[in-house]
Amino acid sequence: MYADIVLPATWIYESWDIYDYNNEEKRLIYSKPPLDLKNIGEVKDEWSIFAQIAEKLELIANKEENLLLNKVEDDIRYTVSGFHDLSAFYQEYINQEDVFNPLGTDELAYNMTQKKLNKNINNDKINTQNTETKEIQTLPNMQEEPLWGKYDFIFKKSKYNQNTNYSTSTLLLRLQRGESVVIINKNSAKTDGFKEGEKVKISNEFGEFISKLKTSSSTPPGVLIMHEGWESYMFKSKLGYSEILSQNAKIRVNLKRVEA
Amino acid sequence: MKLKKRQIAMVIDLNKCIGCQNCTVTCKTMWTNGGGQEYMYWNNVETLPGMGYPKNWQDMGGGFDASGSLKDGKLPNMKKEYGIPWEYNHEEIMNAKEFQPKTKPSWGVNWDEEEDSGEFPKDNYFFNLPRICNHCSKPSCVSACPHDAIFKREKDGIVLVDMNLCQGCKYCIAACPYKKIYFNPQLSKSEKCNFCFPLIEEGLPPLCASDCSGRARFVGYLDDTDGQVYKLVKQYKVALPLRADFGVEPNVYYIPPFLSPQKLDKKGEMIENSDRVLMDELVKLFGEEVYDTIKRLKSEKESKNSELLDMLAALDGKEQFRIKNENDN
Repeated sequence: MYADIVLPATWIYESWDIYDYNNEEKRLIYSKPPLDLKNIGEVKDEWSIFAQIAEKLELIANKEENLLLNKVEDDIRYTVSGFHDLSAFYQEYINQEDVFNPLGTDELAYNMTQKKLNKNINNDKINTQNTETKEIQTLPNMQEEPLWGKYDFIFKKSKYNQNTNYSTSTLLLRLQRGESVVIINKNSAKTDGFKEGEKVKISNEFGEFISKLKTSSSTPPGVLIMHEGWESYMFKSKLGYSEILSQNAKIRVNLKRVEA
Repeated sequence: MKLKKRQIAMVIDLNKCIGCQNCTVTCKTMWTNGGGQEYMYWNNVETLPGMGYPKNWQDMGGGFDASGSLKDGKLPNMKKEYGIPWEYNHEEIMNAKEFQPKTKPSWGVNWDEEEDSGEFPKDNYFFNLPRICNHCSKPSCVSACPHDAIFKREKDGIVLVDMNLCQGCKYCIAACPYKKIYFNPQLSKSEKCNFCFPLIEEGLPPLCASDCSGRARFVGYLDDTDGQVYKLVKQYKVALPLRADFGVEPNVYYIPPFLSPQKLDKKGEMIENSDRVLMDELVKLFGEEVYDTIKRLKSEKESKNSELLDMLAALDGKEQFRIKNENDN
């Protein structure tokens, strides 16, 4: 990737942020900067950087010579055609009333979201003592009932995460055979008719992906265990395990043999 | 100044090795990143029970017999036992191609990990075995070399290959019972672990030891009575050489794994004082002494003030490495 300008931004744990953690777990994470944090140089959080750019853009758009140009048509990819009004770009950007979607990464947006969430919690008459977990429960896409499927699907943290580029380096990938493995209990495999080393399709209501099967006595019956750390493109048809994930902590899946 | 004959040694605590392969990665990127070295892993971590790298290296012969003469050894087969080092089509996957290796993998450096290791209880317990060149006191590779290209340094006992003298006859590979010397087909010469000797000469530990995330490796001289290596090997006698029956007197020692989860009964409840350690595997690797060693380690675990346990916990990481050598002054 290339960039013409690189701006100094704070790290995720140095700024106020609510973000969809950019791994494939898709869990929301709240972060606050430490109280005694001293920023290095002119570093700013990303939202503030964007806000400053927006402010500058709005200033330029409102100059006399640009008045005819400041309505920018939307990309044709959008289903509804429209335009962006650059003359009110900054005003739009920092609009405090409309920041429920965690777009902002500054303290303001963070607090607005928290306020909104707390309001929802009070309306639903839920005990707000344990605010952290309750807040997360009220976010969209959370389901309380486990999903359908015969097996529980469990992720183990990949132990190779220490070698961060393990699964993208040709050199290091040889250590794990370049193929993801799903581990199943030996007796479960026997009764359900699966064999060591064969390709299986793991599916649920959201989607499916293909992986190799390993049998082991150490895995509890009725459970599939998989190591994280695989990118989607490394799977057949580029459909990775993110296909079957949901916001729900408990994932249930079905298993089917794939004919070679 | 007259050189004092010394021997550097490494102790690896298998209870602390989690198989993260940091040592493999650091060694690979430092020493064997070049042409003809793709299949070489001077340091590799095997998953046991398993066949290791190269496949079934323990049954390939080499070393010395009881009378002290070289035993016949086998050269590992590139395709069957090392496995041809495969590359992936990373450059093609942007064009809607499937991600796959360019050559079909047949065996690899960590192949055992993702394979069923046999019937219960063999597949219910595993441990990791990191392996480097043992820098043996009686190196069979040195004895086998007809060109005197391999030599053992007096000042620290590191076994090295003189690349100017090596003619690439591969006798050393057949003679090494650990199969820890590799043939570089591009240079037509043998290459092996050098114990990171440039670092050792600076008083620093080898990379596999300093990069160990579990602090499982201890490095020091066997005659340094204040060093932890001496204490573990000679004083407490809890560190054992790998396959001492090969007769080459290796200088990498292992503390056998003695901790494991308890076994479960049919109802799924824990059976007290049971463990899953596969003693057959350990006896094969470390000999009958391993029973006695594990017994002593377990009794030491019960005692409250134990120098040995403090040492194994490696609370002070610096003490693990005592590499200062008066020969270098």
